[in-house]
Amino acid sequence: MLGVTGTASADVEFHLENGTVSFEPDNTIRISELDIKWDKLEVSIALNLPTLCFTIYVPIPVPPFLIPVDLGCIFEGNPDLQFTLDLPTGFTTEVSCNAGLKTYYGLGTPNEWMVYIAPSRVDLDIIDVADTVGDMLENALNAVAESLGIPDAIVDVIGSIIDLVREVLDIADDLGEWLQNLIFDALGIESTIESYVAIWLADTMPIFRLEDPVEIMPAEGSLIPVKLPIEYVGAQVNDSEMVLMVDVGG
Amino acid sequence: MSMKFVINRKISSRINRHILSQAALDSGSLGPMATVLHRFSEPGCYNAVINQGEVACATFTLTVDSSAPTTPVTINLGGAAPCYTVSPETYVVFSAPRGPGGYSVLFWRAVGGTRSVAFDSRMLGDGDIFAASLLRPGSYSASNQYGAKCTISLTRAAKGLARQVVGKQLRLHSRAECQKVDCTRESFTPNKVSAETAQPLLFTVRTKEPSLRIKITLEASEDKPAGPLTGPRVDLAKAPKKPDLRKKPA
Repeated sequence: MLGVTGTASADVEFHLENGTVSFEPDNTIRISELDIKWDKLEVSIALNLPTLCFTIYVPIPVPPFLIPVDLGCIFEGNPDLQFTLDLPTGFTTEVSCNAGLKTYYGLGTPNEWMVYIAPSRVDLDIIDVADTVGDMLENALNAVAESLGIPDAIVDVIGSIIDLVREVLDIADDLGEWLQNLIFDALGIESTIESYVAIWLADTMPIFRLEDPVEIMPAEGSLIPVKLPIEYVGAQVNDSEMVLMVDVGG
Repeated sequence: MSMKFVINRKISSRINRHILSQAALDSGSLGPMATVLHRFSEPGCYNAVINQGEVACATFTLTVDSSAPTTPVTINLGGAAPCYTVSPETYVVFSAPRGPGGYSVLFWRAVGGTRSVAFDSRMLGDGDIFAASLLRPGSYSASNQYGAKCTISLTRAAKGLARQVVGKQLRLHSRAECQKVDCTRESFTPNKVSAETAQPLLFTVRTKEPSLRIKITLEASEDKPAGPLTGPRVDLAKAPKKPDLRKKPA
């Protein structure tokens, strides 16, 4: 029946800081305390509210004896309300990651053995920003109502614009929780960032590189350098160290 | 670390503010929240011109046909169709629910080679109804151009407004029955009316000659002092720490 339609979009910029790496006994590494520092977190919301009409029933002396007359409607536009929130960027979001190690052989000049992190799971731990953003949304909605220039008494009549918006948006009591869910879940920011971090860790950050062949004695005078071909590189971790296994020869 | 609180004031709204800010209603200059009902008792073809202020902005024809359905016909003066058909047994409802209003309508018909005015919404005659609904609590006066006057005391609807879902619309209407006032050149009967917000006010004209124009004017409003709108607000300093439901189980 009645419902709200609309659009929501987010414009987000962030960078990563800090982070610790620990070795786990199950041949995995754990990256923790990797912080997302938000540089920009802007959310735009456009709402198409259900049309609200003031109706009177006018009695007439002939059938049908009562005529409904719409004297005027509000919220007839699409969208009816639009606003943008610049959310506070002072909070930190922590990223944690479980990963294994994966070895690649890269062809080039020179060829290289490379050990990369292979994330198996990236988790974004969004601290509870519901209170903060809830207060901001409340203020924004107040600002929307103020921008309409509606006398207070009229707001009484329609049960207050904010309450109506809450009703149609199915916002219970917690504006912040609703907005937090909208931003991070509905708009998919959480899953998008998790994917980006996983791709970034996997593709752009080799933790060990070894030239093949590796030089064990440099050139000296007329003597050419001594190089050993590397047949295999393997990487493992236990709870105290990372172990590289290298087969030489070939 | 300090939080940055910014509400971007990029707020836009497309809401018919004329409905909510109207302080005067006029049967001869129709806008939101007021309507005029007239019954064309003589079958025939009528030509009509709609004026906005002093400017003619549209024309249409009305056929009054005894064989037409007895359903009342509503004509939106802000967007009339080219032609209408109505039964002489029922009423034509003139309204202008959108925009700033200022509309009047003049009907004439050709009889014996001469044009005679059949109805002018600026001069209501016997049996015509001017119906209005007021939203802003306060003291109003209803008057005609001959000096007759009626005071209207408008209070907040004690039980709020009734809501009714019709299609995609939410209709708001008063729970109270309409207040009826009979109008002649000399008087309004009764001359003191108490009503609730949005309660229909029906002014029925009782004159031999079409001549009345009824105006309702806000004399004193009872707006509450300006302040924030309703709805729970979050006091960040006092808010209890919420459990972080987003944390994934270890």
